[in-house]
Amino acid sequence: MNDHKPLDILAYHLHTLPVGIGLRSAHYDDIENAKNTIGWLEIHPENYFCGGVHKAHLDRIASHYPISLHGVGLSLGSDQDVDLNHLKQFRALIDRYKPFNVSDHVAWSASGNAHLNDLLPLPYTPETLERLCKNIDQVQQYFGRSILVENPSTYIAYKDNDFSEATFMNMLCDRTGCGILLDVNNIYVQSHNHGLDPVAYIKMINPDFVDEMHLAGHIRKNFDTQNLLIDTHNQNVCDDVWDLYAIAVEHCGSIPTLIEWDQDVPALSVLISEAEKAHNIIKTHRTRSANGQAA
Amino acid sequence: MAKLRDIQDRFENTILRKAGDLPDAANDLRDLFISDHIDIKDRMSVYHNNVIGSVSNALAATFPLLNNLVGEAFLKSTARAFVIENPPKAGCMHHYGDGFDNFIRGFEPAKNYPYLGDVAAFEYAMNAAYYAYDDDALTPASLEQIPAEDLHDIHLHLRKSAHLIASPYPLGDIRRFCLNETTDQPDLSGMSAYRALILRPAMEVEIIALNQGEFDFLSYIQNGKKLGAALDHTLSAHPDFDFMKFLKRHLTLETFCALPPN
Repeated sequence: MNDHKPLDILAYHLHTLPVGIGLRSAHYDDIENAKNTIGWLEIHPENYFCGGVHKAHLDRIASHYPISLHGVGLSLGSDQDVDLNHLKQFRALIDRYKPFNVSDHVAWSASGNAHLNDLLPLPYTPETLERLCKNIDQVQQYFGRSILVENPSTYIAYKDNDFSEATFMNMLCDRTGCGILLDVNNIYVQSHNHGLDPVAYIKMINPDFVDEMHLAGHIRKNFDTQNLLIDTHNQNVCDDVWDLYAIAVEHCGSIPTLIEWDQDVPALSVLISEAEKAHNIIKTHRTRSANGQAA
Repeated sequence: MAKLRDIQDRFENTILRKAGDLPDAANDLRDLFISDHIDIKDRMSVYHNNVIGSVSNALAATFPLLNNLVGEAFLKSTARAFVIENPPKAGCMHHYGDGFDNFIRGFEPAKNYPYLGDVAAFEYAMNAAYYAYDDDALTPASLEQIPAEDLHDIHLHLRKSAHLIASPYPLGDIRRFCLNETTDQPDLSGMSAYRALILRPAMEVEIIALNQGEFDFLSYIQNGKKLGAALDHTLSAHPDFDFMKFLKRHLTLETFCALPPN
C-alpha cells in the first residue's frame, strides 16, 4: 500500500517518470524490475473486487508504484443512480491503495438490471448533462474526492446532439469539479468515425481540466468501401496519434500519461518502449517550454 | 429528442439479440442515430460484437472443462444464447455465469448430455472460490477456548470460498479425464454419488472429496444449524459418523471461518 508515499514525493516521482502502463496479470512477475522506466500503474478496480491471487499480487506491486484506479463499470451515463455495491467495493480499493487519480468514462453500460460490459454512447443534451452531473456528484461524494472522466470512442452518432463532445466535457468539469482524462486515441477514433477535426477538438478542451492522458492502439474495420476505427487497445500507438499527442501535450502540459494495452498483451519490453516514446514527447515539450518556444 | 431512459432501453433491446436479428432491430433506431456512408446496422454491429462477444468469451473462459467436453464452437454458441437471455447484472464480471448450469440443463441442443449441467455447477463453484473475498480460518486454539457446555449452541460458518457439490456423476473423474490426467472413461450413467467441497484456504482452489456424512454435516452448518443440531441430524442418518475425526480433518483443511470476536 502507498501509506509511505507523501504527496510531494509522489508529485516528484510523477514529474520524473510521467508515463505509466496498465497492470496486467501477464506482467505480475516482471513489473517490479521496470521501476526505472515506468512511472506508475493503472489498475482496473473491477479486476480486484475479489481476494486471492490477484489481490495478493496487487498488494505486493502497489507498494512499489504510484497507482491510478480507472473504473470501467460505474456507468456514469446511465439514467439511473450509480450502483451502491459497486461504489462500496471501489471505495475499499481507494482506501487500500491511495491512488493519485480515480477515473471512469463518459459513457453508459447499465440499463435497468442489465450491465452490458461495454462503454456505450451518450447523446450530448441538457438531460444527459444533468444525469451525468448527478451521478458524478454521487460518486465524488461517496469517494470523498474528485474524479476524472474520460472522453469516449464511439461508433454511432446521435442526430440531436446539443453540444459538441469537447464542450460537453468542459461543462461536466465546470458543474461538478471533476477533471478530464483526455484519451488522445479516442479523439482520433471519434474524428475518423464522425468526420471531426481532432486538433480542433483538443484545442476546445479547457487544459486546466485535464489531469491525465491515455494513449492506445486501434484497428480499422471495413464496411464495403468505408471503414470505422475500433478502439481495441491491442496495438502499438499509431503515428497519427503520436502526432496528436504532441499537440495535446503542448495544449495541456506534461501530465501523467498512460499506455493502454488490454488485449493480446505483449511482452513488458514493448510497453516500456511505448512509454519511452511518450516520455520523449514530454521531454521535448519541457525543453521547448523552458526555452520559451511556442508550439 | 427521446428521453435518455428510452434511448438506453431501446439500445439494450437491440444489442441483446441474435446476430441474425440485428439488421432489422437496428432499423428501429433510425430516428435516433445518423446513418451516413456507413449504415446504422453496420455501426450497431460493432456494439453487438463488443457486448455479446466480450461477455460470451469471458463466460466460456470460466468453463474450461465444458470446453473440453463439448468443443469451443458449441460452448461459445451456448454462451451467446445464455448472454442474450441472462446479461450481466454488475460491472464486475467475476461472478458472471451463476445459473449457467441450469441454463445448460434446459438447453435443447445439450439435452442428450445430462451431466453437462453438473460439470458447469462444479466449474462455477471453482471460479467463485477463486474470486471469493479472503477471510481467516477457524483455529483449534480458538475452538478450545469455548467452554465445553457452550459448544452445542455455537454457530460455525463455512469459509467465503466454500461450495458444496453433490452430483450423480463422478465430477472428479470427469475433470481428470478432461485435463488428460487419466485415459479412463468416466462413468456417465448417472449412478455415481459424488460429494465434494470446493475451498480456497489460501491462494489455491482445492477440491476435497467428501463422504455422505461429512457432506450432510457441512450442509447443515451452511444452512445455519447450530453445531449440536447439525451433529444430531447427521448422526440420525449416519450413526457411525465420527465427529472428532471430522473436526480434526476440517480444522486442518481450514474449512470453517474464524469465530467473530466477542
